[in-house]
Amino acid sequence: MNAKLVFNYFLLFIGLFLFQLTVLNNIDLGPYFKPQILVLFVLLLPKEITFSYLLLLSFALGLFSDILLNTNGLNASSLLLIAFIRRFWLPKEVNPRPEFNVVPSLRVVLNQKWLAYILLLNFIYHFNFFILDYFSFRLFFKIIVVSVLSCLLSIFFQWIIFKLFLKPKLY
Amino acid sequence: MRKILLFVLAHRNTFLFFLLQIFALVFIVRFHFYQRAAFFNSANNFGEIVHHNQTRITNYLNLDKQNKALQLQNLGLLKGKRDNIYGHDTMLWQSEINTENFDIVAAKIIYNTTNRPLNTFIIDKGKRDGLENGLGVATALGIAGKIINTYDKYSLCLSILNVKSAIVMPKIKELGNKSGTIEWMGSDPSSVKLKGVHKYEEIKLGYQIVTSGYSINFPENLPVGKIAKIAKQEGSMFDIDVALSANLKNDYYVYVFKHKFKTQLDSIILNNKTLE
Repeated sequence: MNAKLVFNYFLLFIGLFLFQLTVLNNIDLGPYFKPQILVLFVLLLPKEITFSYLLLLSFALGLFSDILLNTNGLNASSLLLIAFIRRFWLPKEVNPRPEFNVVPSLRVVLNQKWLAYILLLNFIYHFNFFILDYFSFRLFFKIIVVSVLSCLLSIFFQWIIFKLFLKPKLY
Repeated sequence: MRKILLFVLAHRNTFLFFLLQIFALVFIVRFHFYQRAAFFNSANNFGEIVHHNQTRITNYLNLDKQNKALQLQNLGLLKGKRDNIYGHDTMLWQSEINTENFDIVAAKIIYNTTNRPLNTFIIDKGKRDGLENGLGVATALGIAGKIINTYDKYSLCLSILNVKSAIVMPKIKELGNKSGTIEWMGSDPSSVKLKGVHKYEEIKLGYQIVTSGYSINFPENLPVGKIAKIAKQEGSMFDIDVALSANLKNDYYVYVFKHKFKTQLDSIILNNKTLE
């Protein structure tokens, strides 16, 4: 990874964090929509990154945002989980045709596999986040509903971010 | 031994994952609320500065609503002196409660959440103004929460909108001393549930839920809300929805109740415990 790429990822994280802090935590969409967007950063980290480094990075960034977003340890735990399980959805060999591939990078070619990757990992992230947040079996169905709805809304915001900032370069 | 070492080395990332996950879980479970407030004190100080400025701006935009709330409050005070000119539509506690034993401190909310399972707000009065942990907080319209941590200039309060602990001992005003417990179901910030009211009680829609006089942190007859929906369940208890009086999303001005003889009463309770 060259310095420019690191800087771009850094910008992406700061952008997502500020978006969460200033917009998503302040808009009030009722009790069932609490979108969390930081997961996009871990989803987009390149495949070449060392696995242990990926785990430590996502944990540290999660903890940093937890302190400032006032969510004690929730982001750290959820981002770490996503960093750990995302390799199961990434292909071992890169397919030469981009439309059948999930290649995490800052220039994403959206396709059906990407959609599945984003949907599934977003849902796992939100479910882990809210089950630890509510921490109660009494509200289990509510947790599922909140996870699904927040996940869908979060993906909508992520789609906007894709369209605005993460377009593939013109060939 | 060598094999164990090799095993650990081969799966070092999995071990790292579980180690970090345990760290995160410890953060979530151990540093809940009360400890967290103390632990992240410096971060919270930074947050308070941000929130203070943010609230100054939103306060300016909300001046119209605030004026109306103050007008209502003045109305309540006037009503205490003149009889029934204005009717009884709105619940105004200012003329109903007995504040003889309470010092009342006016404060302003500078940070507020209503969409978390455990909601909190921060008010701009603290130890310097004589506040302590456990004191009750109410807005101009009704009960809001209680203080759980005090700093020099600020206090952290637990909102009535939390799924874990009950803030208040309620009673139904029209029936005298028929009480239950207030629970929040974690979704709608304008309503709570009243549990534990037996089916033979003759309750009706619109009955007022107020604080009982059993707690020294709240004066008696401070409004909690009105009964908005009564559902009959299978068991022997009613399932009652209570519409909260306080508008916890938009209210900024609150009052903290401090019992004048709190230390004395606390020591009596403590002595009583040592006797047992």
